[in-house]
Amino acid sequence: MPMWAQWLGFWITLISGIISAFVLYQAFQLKSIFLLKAKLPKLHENLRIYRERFNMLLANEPKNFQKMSVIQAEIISVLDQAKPYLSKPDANKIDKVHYDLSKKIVNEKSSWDFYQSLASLEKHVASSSEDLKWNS
Amino acid sequence: MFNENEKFNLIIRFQQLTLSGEITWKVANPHPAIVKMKDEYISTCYYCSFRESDIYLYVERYSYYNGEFDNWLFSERTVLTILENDFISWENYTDQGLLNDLLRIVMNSTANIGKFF
Repeated sequence: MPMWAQWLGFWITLISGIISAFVLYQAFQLKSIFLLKAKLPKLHENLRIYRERFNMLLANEPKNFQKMSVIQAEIISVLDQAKPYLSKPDANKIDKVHYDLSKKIVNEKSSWDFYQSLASLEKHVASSSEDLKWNS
Repeated sequence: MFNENEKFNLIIRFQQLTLSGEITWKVANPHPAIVKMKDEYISTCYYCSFRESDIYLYVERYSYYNGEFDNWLFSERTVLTILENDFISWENYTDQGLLNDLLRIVMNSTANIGKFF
């Protein structure tokens, strides 16, 4: 085989390799966006429901810390499941509030603190979900 | 200037004050400062007075333009407003989750549904 044909083959292989890598990268990005688009609104909805349930407990059974702790455990489990699919800023936000949300609920102050952290996280997730809807 | 946490704290404070009975809400007509120059329809309105301020919590229906489909849509939101000397000094309609929780607490505290039993 002449030398020029070998070089041509080399360049064609190299360029097609680069194009394939680019296409694969884009597909991965698209998959991430689709996953995010599916996960974020679901997480927002879950947090909204948990916040409402928790608020009803605060209003009707303000000293039932055991029931509140059950909701707390469910919320942390939901967050841990959703985290791998979230974007870096959202995952960071969850890491940031994780400590506050994990504090043991032992009195009325800690129950209201938990409620506040939950509402703050819900607002952040709602805003990210809205951004994703408009930017992708 | 209010930061995010203070806004949250204020709504939560009103929830706590309502639950502990330190403030008493009553169904009221919206203050003229709230309805003036507005197209929104106010479906529910509650009033209470706390530390010489008038506080209104109300639900308003409003219309907004949807550019994607070139039409007008209707939505509903809960608003918490503080009035000083008949002027709006502060209002919040962005934290709908907390505001709706406050509205539910206020409704339960004023509804007196026991009379139906």
